[in-house]
Amino acid sequence: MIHVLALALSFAAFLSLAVAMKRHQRDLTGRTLTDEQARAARTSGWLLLAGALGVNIAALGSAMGTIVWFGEASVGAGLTVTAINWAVNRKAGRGAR
Amino acid sequence: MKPRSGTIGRGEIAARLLAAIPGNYLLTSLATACLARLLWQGLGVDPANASVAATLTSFLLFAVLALVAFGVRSAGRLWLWLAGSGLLLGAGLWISLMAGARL
Amino acid sequence: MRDTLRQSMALFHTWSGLLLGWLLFAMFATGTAAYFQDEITRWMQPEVAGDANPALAAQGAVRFLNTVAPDGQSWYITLPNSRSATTQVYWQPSASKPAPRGETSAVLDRDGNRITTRETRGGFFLYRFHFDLHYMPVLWARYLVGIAAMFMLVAIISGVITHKKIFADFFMLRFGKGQRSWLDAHNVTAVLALPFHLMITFTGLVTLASMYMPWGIAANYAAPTAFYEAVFGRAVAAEPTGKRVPLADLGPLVSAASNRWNGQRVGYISIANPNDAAARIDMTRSPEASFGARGETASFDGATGRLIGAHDANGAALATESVMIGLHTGRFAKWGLRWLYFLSGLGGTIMVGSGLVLWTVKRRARLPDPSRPHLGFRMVERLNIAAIAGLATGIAVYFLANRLLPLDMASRAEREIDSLFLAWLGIGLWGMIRPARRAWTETLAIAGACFAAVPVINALTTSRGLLPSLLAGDWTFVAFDLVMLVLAAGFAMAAVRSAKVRTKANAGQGSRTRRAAQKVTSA
Repeated sequence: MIHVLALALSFAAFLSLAVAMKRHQRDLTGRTLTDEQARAARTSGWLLLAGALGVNIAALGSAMGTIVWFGEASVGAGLTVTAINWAVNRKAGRGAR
Repeated sequence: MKPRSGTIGRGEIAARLLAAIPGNYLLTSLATACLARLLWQGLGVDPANASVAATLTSFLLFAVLALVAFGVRSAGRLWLWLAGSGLLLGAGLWISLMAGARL
Repeated sequence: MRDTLRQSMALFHTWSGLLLGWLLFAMFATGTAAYFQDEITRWMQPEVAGDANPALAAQGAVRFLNTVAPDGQSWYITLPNSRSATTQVYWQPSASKPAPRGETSAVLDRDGNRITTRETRGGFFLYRFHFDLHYMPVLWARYLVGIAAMFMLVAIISGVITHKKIFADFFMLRFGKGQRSWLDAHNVTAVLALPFHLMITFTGLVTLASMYMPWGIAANYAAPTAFYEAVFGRAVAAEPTGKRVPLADLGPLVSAASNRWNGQRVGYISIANPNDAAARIDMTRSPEASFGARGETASFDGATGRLIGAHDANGAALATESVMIGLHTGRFAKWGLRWLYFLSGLGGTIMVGSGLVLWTVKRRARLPDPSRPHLGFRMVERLNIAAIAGLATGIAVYFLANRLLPLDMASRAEREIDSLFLAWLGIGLWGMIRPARRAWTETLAIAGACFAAVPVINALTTSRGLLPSLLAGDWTFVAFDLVMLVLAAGFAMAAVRSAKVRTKANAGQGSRTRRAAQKVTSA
């Protein structure tokens, strides 16, 4: 259960960080964000990542929590890459039609 | 690929490879042995921990030296540095082994 | 100046990556599988079911050893952990009665009976191949593996320096864009699991540190044995007295040692001079119980069962080393973290594999005539096929051989391993004789088909197929079969993709490719 929560937080964190990047905004949100919105997305991304670390440490202890956090961060980032690809493909499919 | 200005020649690459691998291993070995001696005889760490601490450090040292071998400007100066620090470390190790025996 | 630096690093990254990439791919793939070595072993011993209790397993092992080597010089017992069901024993026969070769070890079930039905080395073979390779002296293999790991460490660091936009490209993975896609795949798998790659490479070197860099120990100890005695606390065994005294009951001793370590399990027992008045029992804490791989030890008098000493290697450096080895092997990981280890390892395997393919994809465009590459290029291309599709097929065939070889075959375990390498060789040869692009599609398809066959053959030859396992809630067997199906799907997809690339390349061959090549070169 704790893995699911922390993994969801990592995924959300990297999605926010991706949204904060100009090159991914259009694919993920369909528009370009203002500088302010991008900054907010970046900040919340880092906060979510810190939150995932906190959840892991609270549940598993500082050593085990940190190790698990690194692994989950990699998986969360991987899921984000998949999500971006999915968004791009969907848009490309719609464009073709 | 068109040769660009700043492309390195074959001799230069060979010199750097020799420095980055065998030269590097020799120097890292000397540094590791010196560090193990220094930690035990000089700083009072128990000999087993001194040896292990030096060994753990050695892999980082090797990696950094390998990168430096490809990063520095001149291969000649690189070898000068290698030889110089090798001599210095070798002398230090020799003196240390003369001063206090191994277990 | 900065350009020269970057250029020489890129050169180093490319060529060392190519030369050691084939070995690194095999190390990553088998190492990743080794995170589930106990589960793989369970799958490969379908006759063994249920869990084992360490105290009972120890008693069973002693019963067994008392029948095969009551007067042996020493006994070694590896107890089952929470994921495995079998006990491994190894013994040194008495000097007066040497045993025939190969008859000094056995795998026991939880009651101490030898498992004879299906001889296999199971997941343990994949684990040992990860650093001992096969068909070659172990010493050579470990040096080779160490060199590859060191290059990997330098390659990671140089990769980060070379790839300027590493964080700007963090999420970049574009499919169907040829060279760009391969570069994306290489970067994404490298960067997303960068902490894992750095950790695993460095700690991998540490696991065999005293072999690669013995000079730190040699500087302080004239004989390495003195160092090991200080670290492991293993005293040299006393000479046997010749007076026979039955060995103390191991059951209570295992519980006593476990209590000393706050209930952490005993993992390993060695007994010197069993059934002699000078018998001595050394127990080591199980590596799965803590981050540190190097367990505490407790020693007992073998005749009386009295505790005669306990050893706990202490000191910051030794503790760091122990934790580093523990982090590498991941024995402490529960199932959640174990899957994260597995996924990260898979990422590493893809990183190395895509890097190898990238080498050829990048160069093909620059070739004077892409349809007729020079000898070196062709060799790399073929070796890539052998290394990637060949090893994958080999591992699938290893599992298939476990189910298909006759159960009473002589040296069956060795024949299973031979099957792996024969399949690997077969794919390698296939890649040599077929046109390279077609060979990719075909060998990837073969690998996928072999993985897909594993659950099918399992269901046909044992009573523990996917459906019965699912109904019984036997998650080890369910997960194994599902992973095989996922791998099969992955390879099938790769085969389909490579076929698409082939038709596209055929359609656009000639002037268009050449022009595109020139564009890439001048860019």
